Amino acid sequence: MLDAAWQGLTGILALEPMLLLLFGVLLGTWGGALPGVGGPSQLAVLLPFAMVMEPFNAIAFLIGVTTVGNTGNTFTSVLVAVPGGSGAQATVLDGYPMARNGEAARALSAAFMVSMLGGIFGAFVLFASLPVLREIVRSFGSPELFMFTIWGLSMLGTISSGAPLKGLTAGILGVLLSTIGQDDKSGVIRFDVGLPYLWDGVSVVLISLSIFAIPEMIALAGRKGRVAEIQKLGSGLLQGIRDAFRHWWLMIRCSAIGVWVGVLPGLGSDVADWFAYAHARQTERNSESFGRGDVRGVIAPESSNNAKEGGALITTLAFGIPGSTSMALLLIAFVAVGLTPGPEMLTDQLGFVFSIIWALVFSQILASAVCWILVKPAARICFLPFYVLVPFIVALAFLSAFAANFDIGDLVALLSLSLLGYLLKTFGWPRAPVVLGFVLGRKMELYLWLAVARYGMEWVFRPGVIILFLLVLGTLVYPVIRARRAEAS
Amino acid sequence: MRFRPTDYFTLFIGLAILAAMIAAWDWDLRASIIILVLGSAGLVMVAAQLALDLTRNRKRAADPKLAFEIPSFEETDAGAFHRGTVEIWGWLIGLLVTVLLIGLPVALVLFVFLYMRTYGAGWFLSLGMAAAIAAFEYGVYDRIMHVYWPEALLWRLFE
Repeated sequence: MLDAAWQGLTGILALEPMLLLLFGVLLGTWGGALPGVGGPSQLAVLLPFAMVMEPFNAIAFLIGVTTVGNTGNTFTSVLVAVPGGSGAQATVLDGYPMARNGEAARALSAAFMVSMLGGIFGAFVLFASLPVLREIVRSFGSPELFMFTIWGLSMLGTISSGAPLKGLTAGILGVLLSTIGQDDKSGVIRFDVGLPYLWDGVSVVLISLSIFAIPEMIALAGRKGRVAEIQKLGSGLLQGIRDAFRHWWLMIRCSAIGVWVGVLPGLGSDVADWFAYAHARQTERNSESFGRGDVRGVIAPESSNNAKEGGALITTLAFGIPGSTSMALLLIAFVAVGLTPGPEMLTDQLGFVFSIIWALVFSQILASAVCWILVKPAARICFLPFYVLVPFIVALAFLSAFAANFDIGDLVALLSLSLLGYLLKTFGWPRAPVVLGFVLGRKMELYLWLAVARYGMEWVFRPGVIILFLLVLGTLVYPVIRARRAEAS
Repeated sequence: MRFRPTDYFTLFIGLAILAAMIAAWDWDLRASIIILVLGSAGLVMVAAQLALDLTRNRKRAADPKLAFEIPSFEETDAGAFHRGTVEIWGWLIGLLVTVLLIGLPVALVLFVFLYMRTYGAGWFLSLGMAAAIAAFEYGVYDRIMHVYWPEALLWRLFE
C-alpha cells in the first residue's frame, strides 16, 4: 500500500500534472463562483480535452476542476446571497448576514479555511476507508436512502425555531414543487398547467435563484442602499482563520457528515450542506444567533460540502457508481484514459487511486490559496451601491436561469418563483426549507418506490431503516427536551 | 379576530396545497402518494399555524426567531421602500417583456445600462458594466457553451 501511495504522489508531483492541476483549480473555482456555469456543464465542456491526456495528467486536471467548485461558490453566497452552486445554499443563511454586518472577509476566510480542511478530511477518509469500503456501501440500499430524506425533512421543523410549523409547511411546499413534471414511474404529467416547458420539471438552479437571489436584490433595490450597512471589511482574514480553528470540533463533525452524504449515491452536495447546517443549529450552544450572521453557520456547510467530494469518490472508484452528474462525467473520463473504476481499481490500479487522493488534497490547498488572495477585493462588492449590484446580479441570474434548459420558459419560471420567494420573505416565512424540501423531494419519491419495488413492505423492518427512524424521532424529540431543560434551569 | 395580510398568505399556501392534492387525487398512486400524504400534513400545519396566529397575542407573534431565514433590514422609511419595491418589480417585468421582444443578449445589456443610468451611475461606469455583460454573454455562453439564443419576436417581423 505504501508503494502505491508513493507511486501516486510522484505521479502527481511532476511538473505537467501540477500545472494542469493548478489550471483545473482556477477553472473550477471560477466556474463555481458563477451560478449555472460551473459544475457538470463546465466539466462537460472540458471533458474532450481531458480524455486524450496521460492518466496522471487527466486525474490532476479533472480532480482540480471537479472538487473545488464548492470553494469558489462561497463568494456569491456570502457577498450577494446568490448561491454559486447547490453546495453553497446553506452558506447564504449566515454568510450573507455576516457580509451585511461588515464581516464579509471574516466569513469568506473562515469558509475557505474549513473548505480546505474539510476537503483534506474527505481525502483522508477516502484513504482510510479503502480496506472496508465495499462492505460499508453495500449496507445502504434504497430504504435507508429514503429514510435519510425523511430525516432531512424532519430537521426543518426543529431548525426553524420560533416558527416550526411554517418551517415544515415551507419544506412540504418545496417537496410539492419538486413533483412538477413527468413522473418517471407512472408517466403521469404533474402540474404542467398545459405548458410543455414544465414536463421536465423545475431546475434546482431556478429554485435557488428565485427563492434567495432575486428577493434579496428586490429588497436591496427597494432600500436603495448597499449590501453592507457597515462600511468596513473588519479584522477579516485572520479572524476567519481563528474562527475555523476555534470551532474545530464542529468542523470535524460537519466534515464527517459531508463524507457520509457523499458516499451515499444520489444524495450529493446539495443536501450535505443542509444536513451539516441543521446539525450545527441543533447541537451548538447559543444557537439563537444562527441566521443572524454567526460564523458557525458558515463553518458547518462549508466544511461539509468539500468533504463530500472524498465521499463521492469512494463509490465512484470502488463500485463505478457515480453519485452525481459530475462524478458520472468523471467516470467517463477515467475510463477513456485507461482507468477501470470498480473493484479492480482498488487492487491492480491502486497507484492511480492514491494519485486521486493526493490530487484531491493539493487541489483543496490550491483552491483555498487562490480564494484567499481574492477575499479582500471580492469583499468590497458589499460596498457597491445598489445601482451597480442589482442590474449585474439580475443579469447574471437571468443568464444562469436560462442555462437551466435554454428556454425562455426558464425566465418566466424564474420571475414567477421569485414572486413566491418575495412573498415568503415579506410575510416572515423561512425560505430555506423550500429549497431543502425541493432537493429532498425528488430523492424521497425515487427511493420510496425503489424500496417498495425491491423489498415490498419488508423494507420497513431493515435494521438500517429502524436505526434511521429512531434518528428521525430523536431529531423531533431532542429540541423539545432541550427546551424543557432550558426552561427548568 | 381580524385577518392580517400575513394570515391571508398562510391561507393562500393552504389553498395551494389543497389545489395540488385535488389535482393529484385521480392520478396513479405512484405519482400521487407523496403529494397526498405530505399535502395532508401540510394542510394540518397550515390550519394549526392560522389558529395560532389568530388566537395568540399579536405582539408576541410578531417577534419570530427564524433561524432558517435571512433577517430583513429595519426599514426607516416604509413608503420609500414600498415605492422602490414596486419600481424594481416594474424593471423585472419590463426586462422579461424586452427579452421576448428583442432577445435575451441585447435585452440584458440594455437593462444593465438603463438601470444604472436611471439611478445615478455615470456614463463610463454604465457603459463599462453593460460591455462586461455583453463580453460574458459572448465569451462564455456563445463561444464556449455554444448556446442557441431563442429568436426574438421583433426580429421575426423583419424577416
